[in-house]
Amino acid sequence: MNLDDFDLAIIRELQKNGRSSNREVARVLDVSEGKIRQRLKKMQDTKAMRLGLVTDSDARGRTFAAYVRIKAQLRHVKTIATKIAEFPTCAFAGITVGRFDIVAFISATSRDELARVIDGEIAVMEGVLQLDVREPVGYSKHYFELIHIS
Amino acid sequence: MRVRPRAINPSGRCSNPVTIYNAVGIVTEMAERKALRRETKVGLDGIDDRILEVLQTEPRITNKALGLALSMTEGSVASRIRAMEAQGLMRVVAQLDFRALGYTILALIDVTVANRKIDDVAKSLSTLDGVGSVTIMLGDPAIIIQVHAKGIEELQNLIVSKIATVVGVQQVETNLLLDIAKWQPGSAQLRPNSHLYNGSRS
Repeated sequence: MNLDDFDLAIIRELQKNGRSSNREVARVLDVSEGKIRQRLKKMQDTKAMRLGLVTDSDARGRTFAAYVRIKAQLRHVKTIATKIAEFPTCAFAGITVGRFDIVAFISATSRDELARVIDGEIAVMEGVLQLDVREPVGYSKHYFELIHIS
Repeated sequence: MRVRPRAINPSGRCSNPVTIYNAVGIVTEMAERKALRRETKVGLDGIDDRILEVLQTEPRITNKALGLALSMTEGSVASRIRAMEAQGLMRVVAQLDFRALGYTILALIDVTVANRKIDDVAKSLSTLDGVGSVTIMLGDPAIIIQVHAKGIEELQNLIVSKIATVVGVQQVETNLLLDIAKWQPGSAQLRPNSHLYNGSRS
């Protein structure tokens, strides 16, 4: 779906505060509430945009994170990525070309939980050949407003 | 912003909310709570958690409906959400699919750093268009970045002309994403001063 300026204007308002009501957005953009509702529905139906809750990872105690990079047997790559994506601890999982076949980002509430997910669940999946685990110590930028809606 | 100060009993845990009318007392109280939060890594109480649980599935639910669902008044729901937002504990935002903005390529790039503070290199990388996140790592690679581009040429230009020319970037290794199973950050570092990293690594 191609977004026009009006769509982007609505999105900008909802990036400032996603909990603004349609009426509030309509007032700022000086259009009718129905028009906002209609555009929002269209953007959400076509999966161009979603409204999401983003919580502070520190505050929720999800401070034990890791990039898990996987070498796997090619015929299992898709299944492994799909399975990892289903974990509630997984924020990101994708199939890559490069040194690794799959890259995932896992965030847990303890080192123990992180180890349980990586060693207990991912490492034992069929087709996993090798794991490369990288731990973040900080973020200089985290643009959470651009995502993949599946 | 209205503050909801809480007493801290000797066991170090929060007891029930109390109101402290002395302004100095509130300041001390807030500082203590902040210290406590750093220590226990919890800035949210059970009621906040219940609010967040609902917002997870219905981020734009009205305060009124949320209050009904949790047997709270509309006003106390509103003030709790306001307080969480003001403290940088949560936000509800419009999240855009990268394809809707015309991006076709996503990649993760390992960046090896030499001769410059890692934090400074990370800051320089953060300013580049097309760089979505910059994560400072334990060990090598020192930094992993996520980038998006509108085509392979744009990606090449980003890597060769922009990322590789940042002072301190010694080597880059790209992992191009062919297929994304999930890319939906639900938590992020919303507050700038994390206990994780103070930027002194060089």
